[in-house]
Parts: sequence; structure tokens; C-alpha cells
Amino acid sequence: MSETSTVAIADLELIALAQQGDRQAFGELVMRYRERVIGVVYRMCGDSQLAEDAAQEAFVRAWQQLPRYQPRAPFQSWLYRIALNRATDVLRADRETADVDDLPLVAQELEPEAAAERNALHEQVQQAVLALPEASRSVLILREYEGLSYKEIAETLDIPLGTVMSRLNYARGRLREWLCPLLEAGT
Amino acid sequence: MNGHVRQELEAYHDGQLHGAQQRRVAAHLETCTECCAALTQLERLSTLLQEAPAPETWLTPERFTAQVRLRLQPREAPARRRHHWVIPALLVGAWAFLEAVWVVSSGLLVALTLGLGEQLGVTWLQSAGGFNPWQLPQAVGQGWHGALPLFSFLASSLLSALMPLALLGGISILFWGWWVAWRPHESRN
Repeated sequence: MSETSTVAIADLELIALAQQGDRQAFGELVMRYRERVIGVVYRMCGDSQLAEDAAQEAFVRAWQQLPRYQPRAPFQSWLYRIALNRATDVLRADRETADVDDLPLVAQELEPEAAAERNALHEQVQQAVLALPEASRSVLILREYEGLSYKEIAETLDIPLGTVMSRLNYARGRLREWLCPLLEAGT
Repeated sequence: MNGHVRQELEAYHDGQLHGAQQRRVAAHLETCTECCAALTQLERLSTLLQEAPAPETWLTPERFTAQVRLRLQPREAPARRRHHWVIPALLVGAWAFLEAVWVVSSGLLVALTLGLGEQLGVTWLQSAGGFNPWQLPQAVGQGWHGALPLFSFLASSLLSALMPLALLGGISILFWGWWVAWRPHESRN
């Protein structure tokens, strides 16, 4: 393995080195994308410690799959896809987070008075996001938190552009409905 | 709802509209309070979502990266891919070598048969007890004694014709075997 000076090296160079088995180059990629990957997994599962573990596993999977990565697709999108798949696995293993069936309950919990405290407000927003179906939630997270374009989301999740738009529309519609008191309170 | 831009409003809010479509929605929003209110709702929802704090991380970036690196398994695949051309190159080389040997030996055989060995300086190739195919009628007339060199000639000719064919067949089988084994691996990448 070659020792790599990773200062100011472009992602593509690091990826090429990592594809040849350079762990130091891959470590630099982990440093660069760690925060975003943890963020995506956290928004999906709602538990920061679980998200950190799942993000580590996502990076290990990325290392395993890296020889098959084609630089035609953005590395970030490719990494997000692995992270979202890992988050889905975590959610399947741990069904303690909110489910679609809990939707009326979530809506009931969203009392306008609770918005008075900032933490409670964030908790409500997070619960509402977690109550979305996984497919819509992942599109919403990539758009709202990661700022990906519709095209990038379509590439990341390997779905048509129209599906991205319809899932985003659905997710926002449900959130507007559940968070209505909070949205009106902010008027 | 006629004339409203509800369908395009989300794409407009997300900055996904361009050119004439974007200008059309922007112009509509200047006059339509209903669509303006819907856009404000979208903006408020985005603000609400983005105000949510980032996840609390337990590990420092260095510690996180070190833990990931500890779990990385060494990879053999790149080395295999780097030298993937060696096997077919060797097979093609062997095939070319055999073809060359076959052409040269066939040429020499014809030259010797035509009695051109001396002119070519390859008389040493002629075996003492060799069979001359031009003497076939006399050999047949000599019975078993004359037929032995004939059988020997036919057997060696058959062997010299079949050997390259068998070797080329073997090389072809090995090449296609490599292709079948390698192709699925490549297409997965």
C-alpha cells in the first residue's frame, strides 16, 4: 500500500487510490463525508448513536464495494445510497422508531403549545419526519437536509425523476398536515 | 384552481425550474395570493425542518475514521484486475507460436519432399530410413517389407497434422474458459 499525502487531493484521486486498496486515502474520504453520512442515517432512524454505528458500517460496505464504483456517478450520491440502505437495515432491525401506522398518534401529539420550547419543537418535527414512509422520507432528507437536486436524488435512489417529485410532494403534504399547528404558529 | 401553478410550485421552491417555466411561475406569483400562500407554507416547512439540530456525535472525526479503518478488510480484487490480460495474452502467444511452427514445418516438409533440402541447407533433417512418397508405387509392390515405411510415414504425417489441431483446440478451450470466468466479473463492475 502506498503512503499517500492526502492534503488537498481531489476526491477522484482519493477514490482511485482507495480502489487500489489504499486505506489512508479511504480514511481521508471517510473524514470528508463522515458528517453527511451520519446526518443522512440519523434523519432516517432518529437515533444519533445508532446513526454513528450505522454510518461506520456504511463506510465499511463502501470500502467493499469501491472496486465496482464507476466515477460516472457522483461519489456522494453513491455513498448516500449505501448509507440509506444501511439505515433501512437498521430500521428493519429496530422497529422502535415511528411507523406509518402511528400517523394519527403523531398528529395528536403535535399540540401548538408544545412549540413554545425549542427542543420540544425539534422533537415534534423529527417525530413527524420519522413517521413518513421510508421511501418518501429518504427523498425528503436528501432534498431538505442534503440539498440534492431532483436529478441527483433520482440517481442516488435509482428511481425516475417523476417518482422523486411525487414522493417529495407526498412527504411535504403529510408534514404540512401533521405540523399544521406549528406552521400556523409561525405565521 | 385554473391558471394556478400548484404543480410547479414545489419545483420552483426547490430551484429546479429554469428559463421560461421559472419566469412563468414567478410572474404568476406576483399576482396570485393563493399560490403565494402555498409557497410561503413550503418555505416555512423547509425552515422548520432545517432548524432541527445536527445529530450529536459521540466520536471525534479522527476516532470515527480510525474505527472504520480498523474494520476494513484487505482487498485482492484490484491486483487480479490489473493483470487480467496476462492469461489471454499468454494463450494468444502460444497460439501464434504453434501456428508459426506449423507453417515453417509444413514448408520444410514440402521442400524435403520435393528434394529441395540440399538447396535450403537442411539435409540434416532427412532421416536415414525416411520414406519418399514419390516412391509409393514401388513400396506397395514390395509387400509388408515395403509397406512399413509407408505406415510410418502416414502415422507421422497424421500425428504432425493432428498435434497442432489438438493444441489449438486446447488453447481455444482455455481462452473461452477464461472468457466465461472473467466476463461476469467484469460486467458486475
